[in-house]
Amino acid sequence: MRIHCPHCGERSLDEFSYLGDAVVRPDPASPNAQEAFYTYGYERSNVAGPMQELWYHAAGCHAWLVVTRDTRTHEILEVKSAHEVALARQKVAGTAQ
Amino acid sequence: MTQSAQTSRLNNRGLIDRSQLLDFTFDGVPYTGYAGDTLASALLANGVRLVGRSFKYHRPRGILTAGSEEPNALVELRSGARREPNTRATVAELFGGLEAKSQNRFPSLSLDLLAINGLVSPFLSAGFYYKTFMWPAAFWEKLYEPMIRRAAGLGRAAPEQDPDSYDKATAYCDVLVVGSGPSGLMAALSAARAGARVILADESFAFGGRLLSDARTVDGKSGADWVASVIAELKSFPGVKLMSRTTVFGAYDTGTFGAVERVADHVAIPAAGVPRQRLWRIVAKHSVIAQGAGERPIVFGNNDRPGVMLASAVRTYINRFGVAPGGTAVVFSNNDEAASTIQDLVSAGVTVAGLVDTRTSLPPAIKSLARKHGIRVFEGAVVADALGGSRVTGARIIASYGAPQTVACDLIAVSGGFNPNLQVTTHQGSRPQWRDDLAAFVPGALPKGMAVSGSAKGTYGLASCLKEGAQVGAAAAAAGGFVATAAAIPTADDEPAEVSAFWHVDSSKHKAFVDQQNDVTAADVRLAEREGFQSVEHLKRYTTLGMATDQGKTSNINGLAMLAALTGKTIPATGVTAARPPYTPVALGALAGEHRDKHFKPTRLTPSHDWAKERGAVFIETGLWLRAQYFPKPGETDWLTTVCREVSTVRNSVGVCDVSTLGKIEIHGTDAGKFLDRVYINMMSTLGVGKARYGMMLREDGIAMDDGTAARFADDHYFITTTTANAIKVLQHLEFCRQWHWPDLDVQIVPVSDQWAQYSVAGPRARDLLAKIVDAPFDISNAAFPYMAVAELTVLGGIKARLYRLSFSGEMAYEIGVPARHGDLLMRTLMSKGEEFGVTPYGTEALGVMRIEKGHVAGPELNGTTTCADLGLGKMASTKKDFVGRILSQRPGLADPNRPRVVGFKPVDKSARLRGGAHFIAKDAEPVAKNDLGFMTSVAFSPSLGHWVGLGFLAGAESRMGEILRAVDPVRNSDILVEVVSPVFYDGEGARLRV
Amino acid sequence: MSELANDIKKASLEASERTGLTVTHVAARRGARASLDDVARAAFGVSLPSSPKAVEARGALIVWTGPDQWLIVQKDETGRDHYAELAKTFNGLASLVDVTDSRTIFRIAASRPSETLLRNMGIDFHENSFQPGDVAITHVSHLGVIVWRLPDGTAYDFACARTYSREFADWLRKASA
Repeated sequence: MRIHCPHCGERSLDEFSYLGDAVVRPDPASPNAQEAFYTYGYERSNVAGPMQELWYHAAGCHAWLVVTRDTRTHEILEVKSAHEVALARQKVAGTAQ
Repeated sequence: MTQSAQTSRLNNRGLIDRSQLLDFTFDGVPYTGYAGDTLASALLANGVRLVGRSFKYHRPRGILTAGSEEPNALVELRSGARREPNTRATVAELFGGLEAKSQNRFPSLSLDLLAINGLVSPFLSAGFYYKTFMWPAAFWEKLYEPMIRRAAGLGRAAPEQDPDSYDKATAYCDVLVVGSGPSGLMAALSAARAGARVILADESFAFGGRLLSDARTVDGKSGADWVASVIAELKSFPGVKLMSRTTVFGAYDTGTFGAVERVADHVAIPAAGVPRQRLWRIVAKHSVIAQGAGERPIVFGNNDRPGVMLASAVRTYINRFGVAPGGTAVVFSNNDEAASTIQDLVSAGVTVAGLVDTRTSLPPAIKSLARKHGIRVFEGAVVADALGGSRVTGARIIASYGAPQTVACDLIAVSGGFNPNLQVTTHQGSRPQWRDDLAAFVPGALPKGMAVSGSAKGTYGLASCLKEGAQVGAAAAAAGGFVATAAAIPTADDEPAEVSAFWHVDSSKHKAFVDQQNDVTAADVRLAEREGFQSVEHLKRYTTLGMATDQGKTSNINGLAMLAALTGKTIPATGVTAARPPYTPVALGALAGEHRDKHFKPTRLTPSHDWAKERGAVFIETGLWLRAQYFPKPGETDWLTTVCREVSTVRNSVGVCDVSTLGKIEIHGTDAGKFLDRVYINMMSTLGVGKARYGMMLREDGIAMDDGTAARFADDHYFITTTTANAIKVLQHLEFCRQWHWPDLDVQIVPVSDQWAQYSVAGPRARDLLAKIVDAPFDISNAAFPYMAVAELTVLGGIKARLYRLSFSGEMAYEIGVPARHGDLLMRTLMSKGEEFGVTPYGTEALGVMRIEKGHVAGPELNGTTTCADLGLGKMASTKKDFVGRILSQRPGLADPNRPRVVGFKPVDKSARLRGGAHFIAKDAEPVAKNDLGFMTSVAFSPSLGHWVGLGFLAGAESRMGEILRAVDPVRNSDILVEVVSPVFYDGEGARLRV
Repeated sequence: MSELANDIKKASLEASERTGLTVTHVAARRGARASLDDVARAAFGVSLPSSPKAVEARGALIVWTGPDQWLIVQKDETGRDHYAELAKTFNGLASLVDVTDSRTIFRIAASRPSETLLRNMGIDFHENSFQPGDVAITHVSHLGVIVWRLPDGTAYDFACARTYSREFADWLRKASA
């Protein structure tokens, strides 16, 4: 498999390491933080189809990536910089407040 | 010894090089062949038909095919450490001096005593592993398994290590063409002319595929001459890479292919520096699979006798290798290719004693061809059984009319039609589709970027293959952005290729083999179906049909067609088992490549490694590092003596330890302190500039991940260390936190593990020693540079350095870092300037002893299951902030005060030795699991105390202080009494650190 | 590391270890990318590359090594402290770390890769694919490496972690034979 790192270009799978689905760390200050962190840590869904995943370009630029992959075919539909996705997420959260 | 003549070699025929006569041996008998032969063709040229014994029944076996699908002709090649079992004689390229041996026979090939397995065959039928040898269980290990292993099996692996080297390589291209038959060549040509980067790979040592095997003309030239002209043109393009002897064995995601190149399989010993084989990863924007089609046999009685051969193989041996595979042949077929087979046999001077065709009405062209050559034609007929033992002597023919007849022959050329070689197209999960008109599966939906062409697609005529190849090759180049047109189509004819599905002869008297490599018979398939194994996947696993190293290339379709007939389903409804990589067997050596022995993983050396080596250090592998374990002095023969001396020297004077392997990371930015607060359990933002602090990181699930120190050099500049083992993991974690959790923080993370050579200088004289190398006016007095102080300074007359007042040993100690290139000089200087204090270098062993004496936790305690409270560090966790792992570390299970905690242990009998891994049991309790109170994690002999000391996890630790427990180690038969004590054995007040 | 140079000489390769360099890691401070670029242009006359490229400017080679990160490779000159000068130039806009000793840099002086090198690299190293001024952070044979082709196309530089450098020299000897 090959993954197109948005920074480095297309590279072979062996340059990357996989973490899991691209879920967001819950708010530790929320009243149900215990439960939210438990869900975050352990209750991951096992998607059959397109899934957003976190990958790390370990042997390359050390960027974390949000990879949209079809788990049935391994087709990679989209790769984004996790940093940029996270910034956009914060911007949206900031706007909502 | 006389060499037998090549009695079956045809004059003036074949593509072998008769100017290069090659000697070889088979089972010790010398023979000759020519360059361009395979072992199989050379054996046949010498009249050798019997080449092996079968897997289960030890039946005599010959050569069925002329290619990589061969199920029978498996031999051992070479001898000694280079001995290689289960090699297909049909693809082994002949070289001078080749030694080949038959396998799976005892005591000799012609007299095999274990052929008696054939007599007990009722016990060896389908599923025999599951049924016959079930009871009693104790018999399995002692009787059944050794018996089966002796009786069944394949070749013997070499007992010594493979002396050859293997290599890995990567190639990129716009268009990968797999297979160099007519279609592949035209595809490559069209793509190459468009300017694409092209790789053309073929498993054979010669390009051309069936054009070398069939007597056909292209553009008025012989097949071989036309191939040569195309190859010459391809070679003229700089962007074309021609790879013969290269099997593309697997297709993987995103246009990645695995291939193995047999670089030096065709020579006795690879030349210096040349690998035996090379494993390729080929990355192709587009690919054209043109691997041709494989002929399938028809299943009939004794169809495994030497002398039964695929008709296409017969033609290959005649046309490509100039060998007559028999003297008198019967052709048994269900398709029009029989005409070519008859023509080639006749032209080679082989008598054709009969054409047996399952079709009731043959095309007139075939009939008139037979008539012309005086060949008896049996229409609507079958060869029910081959006659003969170790070679075919005749065929028992049953026609739809008249009585069975016996026709004498020594060769039965069989053809049941063709199966497209589509395996590679299915490796990513796409399913083949059935075509009734071809009586074969053809590729279904293809992976992105892949096209298939020619016979591999079910396009069988030569002219059609050429045309399709040209079009598909041009399309592949065009898809890659090249302006491409299909190469002009050379003139050639389409041969007739009608086939009438026929799989298996019912009226056979003898064993009829479906899978010849795994000895699966037609009766086995029937039995499996009767016993309820009616899915093709069950059939495969129950009978082992198709599970041999040939992956059932000549057997799968026959097997499932028979199953379909038995269950009354259609073939497509019965389905087909999945083909998986590798397409043909790949040696483990090739998969390992150069990564074996000391190159299994890279070795990291610290900057003063050469010095340590000169000093006589004993090294230990820790992860990728080679670290000095201890430094024996002349006369010290026992490691414990050396380690005790090193520890005592540190405790009484001064020692130096190379700690360069620690992970080192620079943390910069205006939010660096805030960031570290979130990843460490304790506060780092409050750390003063010029100070260091011990820190602990948790995983998000609340388990301890790593510990180390953080030093602050400026408001926006920290330097942290990790354990040697976790350096990469911590960096990845920090980058994750920075990029994904808190992208808004101004933090920059720079790994600098390799930048700094770092040494721990420890002991009461450490300051005296350092004073000799620190440049003025830096003041290292206790007042100016107290415990946990850090500073940037220069040493040895201007070398930039960093000094940290840290101690792992429990003594007054410093860590000093210099840019790596100065590490060797610094170490040598510390040794020479320390002579007056009796300085010693110390290794990981003494380091470990001193940390256990001090009760510092390390790898054995941070074992991925323990919390900071378990480690006795619960009070470090800040309650004023959030940090990674905080929330989940508060789960009831992790916060349980009864969890085992780290405490110290000492033996009641001071001379007793403690054992890591020993379990703690109450003094008067039974040593059984339910009485388990915890276990010992780290032990050492303490030279400072004169007895063994240990750390371990103990349930209810606080209330057990001073208690006497049993430490039971059943593995090493140790059961001693230990006293529960504080984990800090040495200088509990830490007074020695601060002087 | 002169031992390395000797090893390579024995194998008669056109590879050599580069010495006498200062290598500085520059990482942009959050939100300072644009201002940093202004300062870089003033100091070096070029922008800091935003993609895997190496640019040569006023005796320095600026090598992209990740998003908002670069290595600045400069030849040592008597009486100059490149790192200190850069720290002053980029003060407040970037975090700087002297990483001169972090890596060993090998040079293969060649205008295009040999067949051997081509097949030993995991990335597409063909001269038309990996062009002058291109940079790749990748690994070869389990060894991490930053490789760049000089902007003038005359050589390839391989920067590998210093503690792996003997292993890497072995690989390079084999890979470029």
